Amino acid sequence: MSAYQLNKFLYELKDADKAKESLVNPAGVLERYRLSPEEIRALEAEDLAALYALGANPYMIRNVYRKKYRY
Amino acid sequence: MSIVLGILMSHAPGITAKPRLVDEKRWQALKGFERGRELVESAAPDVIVAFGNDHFQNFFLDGMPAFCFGIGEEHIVPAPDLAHIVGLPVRRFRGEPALAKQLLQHAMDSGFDPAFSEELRFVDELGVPFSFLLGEKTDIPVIPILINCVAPPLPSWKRCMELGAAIARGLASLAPDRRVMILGSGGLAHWIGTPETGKINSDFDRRVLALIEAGEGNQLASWDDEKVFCEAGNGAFELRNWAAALGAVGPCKAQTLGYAPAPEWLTGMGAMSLQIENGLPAR
Repeated sequence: MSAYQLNKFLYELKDADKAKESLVNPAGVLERYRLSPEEIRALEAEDLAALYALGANPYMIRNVYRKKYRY
Repeated sequence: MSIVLGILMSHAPGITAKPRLVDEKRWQALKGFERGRELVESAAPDVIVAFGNDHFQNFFLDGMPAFCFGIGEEHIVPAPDLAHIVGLPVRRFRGEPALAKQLLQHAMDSGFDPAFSEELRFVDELGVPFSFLLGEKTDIPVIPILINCVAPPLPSWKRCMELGAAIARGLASLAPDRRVMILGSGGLAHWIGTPETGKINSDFDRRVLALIEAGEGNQLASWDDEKVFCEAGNGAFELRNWAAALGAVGPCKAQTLGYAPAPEWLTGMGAMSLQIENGLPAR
């Protein structure tokens, strides 16, 4: 199961706040990105370990959720 | 062509953006990074060939080059919208489009198939080393070569070292009168965006530094990513840039300029100077 759509979502939203905002309208997000319910759950919860386990590229995770890391 | 200076250096952005996150003792251990500035002054290179890696600010999974030659006229380091990540002022460096394109052609004639870009964006991969090595000095032109270290499958360690060697042969044939500085940027052990982020492996780091000090840096060509990941994290995949730099300079001894494990910056931070005397590597 390719995580490409998940990575594409993270890459295009670029920013944790924008990602969270977009998920308020999940129908809109699903139109653009074919995300699974597990991926949506992990994104809504900002569950970085789950995103990693689902195949999000770790550098992409770091770029989007930079503020969650010490540096 | 003489290679007048070879530097290997970690580029975790915390070192320039949040220097005082680490204690004074470790900051002293890292002071040697600043020696790089004197080394550049005395070596007086007239071109820098810099091996570094993208962090998805140039490329994405819809087009991911294993190797990308920066053939543009100018390189802005860091990109203005990324400057906050490294806490550095934006500086403009001349590229070497003619030589870069010749090196690209030479690499292709040697059996490589690199991508190229007229316009690359930079952040810590060049920002951090340039800050230590060049300071405000922007008059040395730069040829950046990006190596994919972030989106598997990655080019093999052996291939990266071979690329470095091919670049050196290209420079020797195309730029016989130039004084070249080689930079390999990245590493050492760190985990980026994984559950182990913040973990450090200073044993691994010190072994790598000792290996290269002893002139055994060619061993990087036989590294295996599964093993590297286990011991040193996905961040250590960036040591491919060191492998390329070592391939370019050839077997030689080295000196560690500074090293400190820095969980505050999420990375083991090290810098080395390859021992080159009178344009020849010291064996």
